[in-house]
Amino acid sequence: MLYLSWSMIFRHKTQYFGLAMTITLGALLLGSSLSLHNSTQHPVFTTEDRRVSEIETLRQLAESSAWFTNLMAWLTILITTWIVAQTMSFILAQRRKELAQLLLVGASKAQLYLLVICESVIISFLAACVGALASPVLIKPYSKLLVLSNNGSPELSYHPDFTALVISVGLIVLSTVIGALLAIRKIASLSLIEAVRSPSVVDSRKFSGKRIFMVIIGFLALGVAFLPTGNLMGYQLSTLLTGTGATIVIVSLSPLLVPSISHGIGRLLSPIAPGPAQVAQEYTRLSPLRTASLATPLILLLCLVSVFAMLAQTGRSETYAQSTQLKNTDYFVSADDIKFHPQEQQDLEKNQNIAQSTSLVTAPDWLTPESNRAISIVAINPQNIKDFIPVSVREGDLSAVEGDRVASFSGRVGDQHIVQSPGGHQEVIQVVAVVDSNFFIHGDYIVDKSTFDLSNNIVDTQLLAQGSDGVDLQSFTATVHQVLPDATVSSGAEWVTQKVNQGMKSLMFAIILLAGGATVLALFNLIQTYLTALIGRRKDIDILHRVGMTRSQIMEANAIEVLMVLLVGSLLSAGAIYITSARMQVSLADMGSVVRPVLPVTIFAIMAGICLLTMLVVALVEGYWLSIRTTYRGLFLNSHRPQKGTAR
Amino acid sequence: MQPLDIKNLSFTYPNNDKDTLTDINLSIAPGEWVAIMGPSGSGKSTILLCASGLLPATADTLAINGLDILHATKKQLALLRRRKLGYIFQELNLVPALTVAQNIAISFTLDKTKVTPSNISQALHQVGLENVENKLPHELSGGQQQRVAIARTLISDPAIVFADEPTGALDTDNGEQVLQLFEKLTAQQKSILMVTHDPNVAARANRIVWVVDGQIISTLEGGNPTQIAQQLANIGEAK
Ligand SMILES: Nc1ncnc2c1ncn2[C@@H]1O[C@H](COP(=O)(O)OP(=O)(O)OP(=O)(O)O)[C@@H](O)[C@H]1O
Ligand SMILES: [Mg+2]
Repeated sequence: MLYLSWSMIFRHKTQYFGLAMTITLGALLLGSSLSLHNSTQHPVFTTEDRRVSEIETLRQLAESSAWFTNLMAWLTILITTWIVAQTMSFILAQRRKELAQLLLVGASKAQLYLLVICESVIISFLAACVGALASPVLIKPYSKLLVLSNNGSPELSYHPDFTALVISVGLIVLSTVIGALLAIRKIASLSLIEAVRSPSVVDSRKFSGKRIFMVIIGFLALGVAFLPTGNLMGYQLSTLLTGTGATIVIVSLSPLLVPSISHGIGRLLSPIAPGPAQVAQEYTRLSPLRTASLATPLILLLCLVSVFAMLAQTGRSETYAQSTQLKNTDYFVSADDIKFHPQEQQDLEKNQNIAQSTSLVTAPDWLTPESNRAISIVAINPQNIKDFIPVSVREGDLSAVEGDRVASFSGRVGDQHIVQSPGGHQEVIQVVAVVDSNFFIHGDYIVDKSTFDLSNNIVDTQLLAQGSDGVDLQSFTATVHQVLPDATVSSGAEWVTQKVNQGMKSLMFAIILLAGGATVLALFNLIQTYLTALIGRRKDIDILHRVGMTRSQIMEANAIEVLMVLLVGSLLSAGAIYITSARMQVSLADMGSVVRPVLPVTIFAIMAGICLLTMLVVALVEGYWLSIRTTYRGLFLNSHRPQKGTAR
Repeated sequence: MQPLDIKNLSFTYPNNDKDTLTDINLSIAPGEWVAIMGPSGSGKSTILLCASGLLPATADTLAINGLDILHATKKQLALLRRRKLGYIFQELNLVPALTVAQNIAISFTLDKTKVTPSNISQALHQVGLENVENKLPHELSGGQQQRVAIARTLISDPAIVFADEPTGALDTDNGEQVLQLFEKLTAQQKSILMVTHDPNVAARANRIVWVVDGQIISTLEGGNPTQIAQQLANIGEAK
């Protein structure tokens, strides 16, 4: 059986080559993701010359990289399985006749399944080994990307991991086999007669009662997307229901949707190109499910990228909504040369949870007479540093911040601090809000010495610094530079904008990374599925060619079909994205946010354009190439010899 | 054991309102060669497909080599096809992805047994082919492909061979070669059920059954080509 599988793979090498490429790509991604994930589980921090905040950033980096690589690994496995299932069912659909012939000469169905599984194991093992072996090459740029997407913080030391590579080969083989198993149902319905006669074309346009029932069920499940989740059911359950509903609706509606689209476009284009329009119409209309499955890579691509874009754009508007509340901060000081005291560094090495930072900044403002403006304090809790969003309010309300003088501090709402200047001037300041932030120094008062014990959640801050309120940036900068020559001083508003942009940039980067990976995989799948479909049709093209269709008419027919497939794909994915956004809106509302999801119209249009171009290129090139091939009779005429003798 | 036993077989294509076959009765003895003749569209191919189990017919009895194929398990049917049936159609006789040698050995491969390369080339030699073992089916002509299919039946010892217009696409010489091979098969006590339009081909069979409108109307034994042609013409006129 292995030998048989091997020769089958060898004969179908064109089809399997594409599959192997996908698998290799999957193994490459999975291998490097798992390797990196392994590294992030045991981060090595070098404490020398590093600030507390940097250790903190490194820790975050390790955490978020672990999260990201984990996500990538899962995505890779899922997408690989999906693409394999997709491609395999195409390959199997084309090999129906051949498989029926095997049945005819005495193979059992079980043997056919075994054959397909053997083929998928062989191909995936070989391809996955290649991918996994190549993955160390990807690790370096990959970790660079991870660093970049984490605000450009220092690099963790990453290293390829042999066990991870072996595991990824195993996982990829497993997901290929699962994909093949999913595809096998295509040949479950195989009947003997297909070995000698072409399968009868089933007109699936009829809208049976069963299908109507399915559509209703699907829509009911879909409706869950628009319900507030709250007490009714868990978020996961409702998402699952929504997804199932969408799938049912797509599957049961496509026999209605596809013919109407194909009819519409066919009607529209038939005055220009009657023959090609009719051919394309027949191809799409007669097998709506096949057309819908041609559109699936397209749907995957559009949905993935749009959903990522939606997340990003929504995140951005959320970030801005929150950051405007902090724009009343005066100045921000940051410096890189704050060094550890040798003793502190030893402490740090002994117990990584205790970090300490020291700085001294003076501002002349403190020496000047009392300001008329009220001072409020926003206390910052530097531990809960989670994501790119600069702040989130933990306690109190930022609207209680009076005036434009804000100090960063630690404490709880209601705490009062009496600050005293060297000149003897005293001021009582009140903590009005506690926020979580990764950027914890902003405001009139600059935290001078802070100690935080991360394991025990203790934050101890001594306020020694002077305020900077009412001082112009230039003189404040001058003062700061007397103490910290390398420090950069920026106004609060400027600083917040800058941080938001930086956060957005790194988020966009991560999203581009994800979306880019998805695009590559999906475009690849798109080309492959479409190419396989076209190649499988070469007998038909041969016949069309013989009855007098010209090459350009064949190419036109292909192009028209692309339009139909694109329209089907975009409509279905627009629906899916709309449902996702409804889902997101519900969950955002559940979290008490006023932000609405942003629909990624531009990105959607761009991606649809890319898909259209790709498919057009494939359609035209393939149409051109196949019609050349048909002129070389000897190449494959024998295997598709038209029936002579009596007509059936 | 009778290679083929059919009693009261009927069949209707799913999207046809009229019965394509009605009350077909046909039994074939070991080593017997039976030809089916009749006008185009009368149901000859359909008889062959039903008799060989490719189309699901209804019948009182439908047994191949003693196995009741209407009630047999899938496993039994697979084994029957693998070991006891031979198929020779006008086209699509061979698995396109397998080489000639692999095609010939396929039933052995599926049975996890082996057949020696010399046996394969011997079988190919018997059908007049040399050095084609490693070619793919599409590299052979239609007649050559048919002869490879015959080589497969020679090597796998079937009880009965089903052939639909085996000479239809062949020239006289190649057709004659195929007929001689069929005679070799019957000499080995293998039975043949064959559809043909050619009186000269039909004359080589032991028995001819005439099919009109999905029914067997008569049987002719030991007819010569002229008689057969005459009867064919009569049927045509009667229609
Ligand atoms: N797949 C099908 N679906 C419906 N009807 C069919 C199908 N195939 C054949 N028929 C009908 O069944 C009848 C018998 O067909 P069959 O192929 O057995 O004829 P035949 O005797 O072999 O003809 P020929 O000599 O032309 O090969 C024909 O009238 C045909 O219209
Ligand atoms: Mg026929």
